[in-house]
Amino acid sequence: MRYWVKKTAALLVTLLVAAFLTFLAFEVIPSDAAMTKLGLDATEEEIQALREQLGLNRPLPLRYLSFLADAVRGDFGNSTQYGRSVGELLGGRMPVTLGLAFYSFFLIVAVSLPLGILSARKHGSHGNGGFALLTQLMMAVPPFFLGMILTLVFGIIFKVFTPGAYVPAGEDFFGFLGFMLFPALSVAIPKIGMTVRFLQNSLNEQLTADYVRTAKSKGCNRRRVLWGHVLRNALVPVVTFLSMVMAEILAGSIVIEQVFNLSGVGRLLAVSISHRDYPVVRAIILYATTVVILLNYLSDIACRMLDPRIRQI
Amino acid sequence: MEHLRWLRKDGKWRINFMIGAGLFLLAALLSVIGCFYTPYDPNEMNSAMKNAAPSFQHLFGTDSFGRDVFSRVLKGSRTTFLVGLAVVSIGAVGGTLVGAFTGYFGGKLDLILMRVNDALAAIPSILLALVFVGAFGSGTLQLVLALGLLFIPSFARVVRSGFLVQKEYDYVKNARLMGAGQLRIMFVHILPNTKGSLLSALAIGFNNAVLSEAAMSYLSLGVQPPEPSLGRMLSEAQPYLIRAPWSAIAPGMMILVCVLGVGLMSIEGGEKHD
Amino acid sequence: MTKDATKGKNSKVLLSVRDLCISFPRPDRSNKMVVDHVSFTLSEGEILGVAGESGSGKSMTALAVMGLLPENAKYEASELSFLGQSLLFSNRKKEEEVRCRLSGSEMAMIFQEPLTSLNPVQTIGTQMEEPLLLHAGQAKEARRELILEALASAGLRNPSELLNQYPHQLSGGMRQRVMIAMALINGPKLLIADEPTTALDVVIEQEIVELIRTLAKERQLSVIFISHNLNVLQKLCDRLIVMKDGKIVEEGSTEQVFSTPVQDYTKKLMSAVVSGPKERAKENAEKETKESTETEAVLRMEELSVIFRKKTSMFHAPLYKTAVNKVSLSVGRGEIFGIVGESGCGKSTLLKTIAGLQKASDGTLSVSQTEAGVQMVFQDPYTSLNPAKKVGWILEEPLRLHTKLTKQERKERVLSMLAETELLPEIAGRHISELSGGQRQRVAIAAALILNPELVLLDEPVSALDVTVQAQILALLLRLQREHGLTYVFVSHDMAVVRKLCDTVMVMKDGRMIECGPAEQVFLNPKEDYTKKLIGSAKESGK
Repeated sequence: MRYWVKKTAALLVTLLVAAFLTFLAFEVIPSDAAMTKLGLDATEEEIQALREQLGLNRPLPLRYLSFLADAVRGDFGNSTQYGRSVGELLGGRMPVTLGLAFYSFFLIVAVSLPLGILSARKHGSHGNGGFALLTQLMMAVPPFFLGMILTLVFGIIFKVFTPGAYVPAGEDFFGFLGFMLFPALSVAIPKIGMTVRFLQNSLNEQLTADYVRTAKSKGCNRRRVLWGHVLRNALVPVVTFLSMVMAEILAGSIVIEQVFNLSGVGRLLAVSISHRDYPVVRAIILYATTVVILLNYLSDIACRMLDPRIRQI
Repeated sequence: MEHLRWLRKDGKWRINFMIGAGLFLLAALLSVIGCFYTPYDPNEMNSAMKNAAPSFQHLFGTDSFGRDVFSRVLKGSRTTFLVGLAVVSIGAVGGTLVGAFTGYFGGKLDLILMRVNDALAAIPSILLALVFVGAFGSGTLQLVLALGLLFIPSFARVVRSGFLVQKEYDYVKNARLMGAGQLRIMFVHILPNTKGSLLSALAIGFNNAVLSEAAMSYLSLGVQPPEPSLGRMLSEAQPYLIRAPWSAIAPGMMILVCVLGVGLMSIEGGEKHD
Repeated sequence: MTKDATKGKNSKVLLSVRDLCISFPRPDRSNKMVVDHVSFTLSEGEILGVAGESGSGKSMTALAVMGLLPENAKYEASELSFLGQSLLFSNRKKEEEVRCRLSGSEMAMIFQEPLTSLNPVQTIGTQMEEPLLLHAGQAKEARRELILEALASAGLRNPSELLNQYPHQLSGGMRQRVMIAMALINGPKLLIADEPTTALDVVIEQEIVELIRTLAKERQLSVIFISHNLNVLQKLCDRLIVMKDGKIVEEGSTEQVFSTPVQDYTKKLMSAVVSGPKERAKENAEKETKESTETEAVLRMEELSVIFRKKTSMFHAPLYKTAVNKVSLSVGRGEIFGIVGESGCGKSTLLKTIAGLQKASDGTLSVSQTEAGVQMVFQDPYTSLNPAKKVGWILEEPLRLHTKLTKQERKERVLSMLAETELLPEIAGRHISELSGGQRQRVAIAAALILNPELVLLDEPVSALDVTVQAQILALLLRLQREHGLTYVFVSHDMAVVRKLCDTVMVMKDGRMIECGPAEQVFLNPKEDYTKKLIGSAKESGK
């Protein structure tokens, strides 16, 4: 019970610190919301008046608190580029990015776990053989190049999907799945290579542990040794690894959305950075850090459930 | 001789290592050539030769401006390589210093730096690089600085965990008894023992740097035109994917060859030193 | 001690091994033979001891019997049969099937490291239940009863509480008891114990050995007990096999092997353990008359305490652990001062404090200061020498730091030091990983002595080594001490070694000094019960 209180308190503190750093970063950036809004030929008085109105002359801690209060209510100000509220803008883009992220994550888990387990059971030396070559190849492909190759092969040559024609999940779920398969694959394939290798190493390490010998001496066959003893031990580091992968998927979607011309959060971020649309950038960074921190929190909990040794601390 | 013998393991050749070394040497050779010689001026446009297919005149064909893709790949891989090396150097030197001091001395400094490190490491580096570039403008120098700084945490983590393990060993106590100073213990006695993991980290870091540079340049936030970079070439080639796929495939394959080569070498190379 | 060594002869043969060979492939495609034509039989109810140093092939032999050899090991034998069933198979599937049936029901094994040998993520209850689930079909309630019974008979109190605990929550001795209970839960006929007490403290070691003996007697259990510790084997076993370099060099009843060993190697093994303190004692007697008048203290401490602050969260008051509690002692020049005690008694902390690696919390400590400072030889030469450097570099390092010798002079000094520690000059160009344990410890001694220090601290310098190597290193230490008039502070848990080497002995427990006096006095007339208990094992074999 005390663990949960502590853990949740730590989560809240981390979130507040992350929010503060994000807030601070955009205070330091040489830009002034009032200047940006009024343009370069505004008079000093006009700027001062607007600064006062926007609350930019208040002390830093106060501004941070009002920033927090606004953020909790989902109010991130207005985009300088689109002139719309940032919350609304993000809300429209979120389904695409989240859809892509979960789809890719599903592919990664669904392919990597069986593949990793299968390859570990073949007890081959890990640096050698065609399998290692394959996983290394998967890791070496830049995701956006992979996206182009997939577009070229399946979009243009075989015409399995129409490049650029995004199908919203709400309209046609299977159409959505069919179209998004290719962007999701572009994100997933490099990560599958990484995850398989990681899982394989973790399993191979556990397979040489002393308790495996004990299990065999009790009469466990290979299958029982693997599923009953080794897997749970080997999964502990993999869970942490997967939470990092999920964070990287979100980052990777910036590039993939560009390749497949998807209007998601990542693309919005790239465009907003080019146009110095700071309210949007700030909101997206805040959203991304929150997601990453939550993922870490969840993976810590999962590890704790898997490994009783962590529970002691 | 000893190194050659290492290429065989349990009577089998380390084929993957040798493939990796071959690919890496190929990529390195091409980019070194790119420093001194290209068949054509990589930025020279030729409106008569737009999107020409590969031929003996133009080994990898020409792009939508009629520029020679082979020359641009040579020049672009030079840029990509140099950026990768610079980023890894900044990351490795900074990370080794931070990791060595925090790992060896521990205490409050370690606690604080590692919290910051964890926070930075948790956020994907490309996201932070984007923000950095967003704040300080895009360009090769900003890109190198941004990525280099962002690579410090991962190196620091590797070196720190090596130091945490090593500093408990008796040879460190022995060195103290013999009167070696703290800096000497850290960098002469302990550091060579983290060589294996540091080498793997260098390889992985280099690959990440190359991939990040390519991604940033692809998003037009890295290397700026007219300087060719592999990522930029891909983004310029994308609209002409149907008419001139070679101008996308050539730079993409170049990245692939380089990253695959280093990756394959790193699997078994790290094992050699530990 | 009562033992019926003849019992095995007329009862039924349980296990028969003939011409067992085990080899591993080497990088150059040749094979490394680790077990070479080993043959032995084991009768029902017999306890067979297998002695030998590390690398002698004793563990590999046991793993082969149990079918647990590493995947890359090749083995062959003209016979390997258990209960009349051959355990040699041409078919992998058949092998797995038979092994899975026998392992855990008819034959079972316990290992050296009980912590890593138990699955860290499963409760004791789950792990205890597995052999029952695999081999017998009891109902849930019956299984629980059997588990509780097995744990209780292994000497564990409160077995029902243990069921929901995890291995990391138990002590080393308890874990090994759990391993024993788990191995015996299906009532096997054969128990293989591979160095089961090596990782444990002396007192717990005795308890575990006692437990195995009792259980074996009660259940007509045959045991193969592997150990490098001859004391343990002598107490426990009916029959003994001595292995060296993969071959059996001596075999016979325990009494026979101990009283009239045939092979030189066996004699050497045993002399390393049993050899009395006579020579040393005589020398001391001579020295004492001379020294007692003019002893000059090289090291002196008064009421020295070392207190650690335990890590706690900020919600708690800090906890303190007293590692060394008001210890006073004085060591004269040329003296060998022994400190004994079990792990955790504070002896290593005390040594670190003398070396200046640990701050004292209270009391005074004075060490006679010389240019060379205090040098130390550590327990494990695998970690006390820098693996990234060559031997020559390691030996030169103190010279680089403390002297103005030229490169050439340093090289010469290194070579002469190598010669003094009986090492060949070419060792200077090798890495530590290329040396044997004994060679490494010689290098460590050379590094400690190269600056000619006055006081040398020895932290269990031989306990990581094989018995025959131990004897050589101890002889080297003694010779160097005599030649250079060195003063040693020698820390050990091994009473036999301390007795052989030291002039004065101090016994420590829980950070306190329990007893201190001339070595012979402490060993022959221990005042404290704890000291008696500690030297119990050494005495029994010392005859």
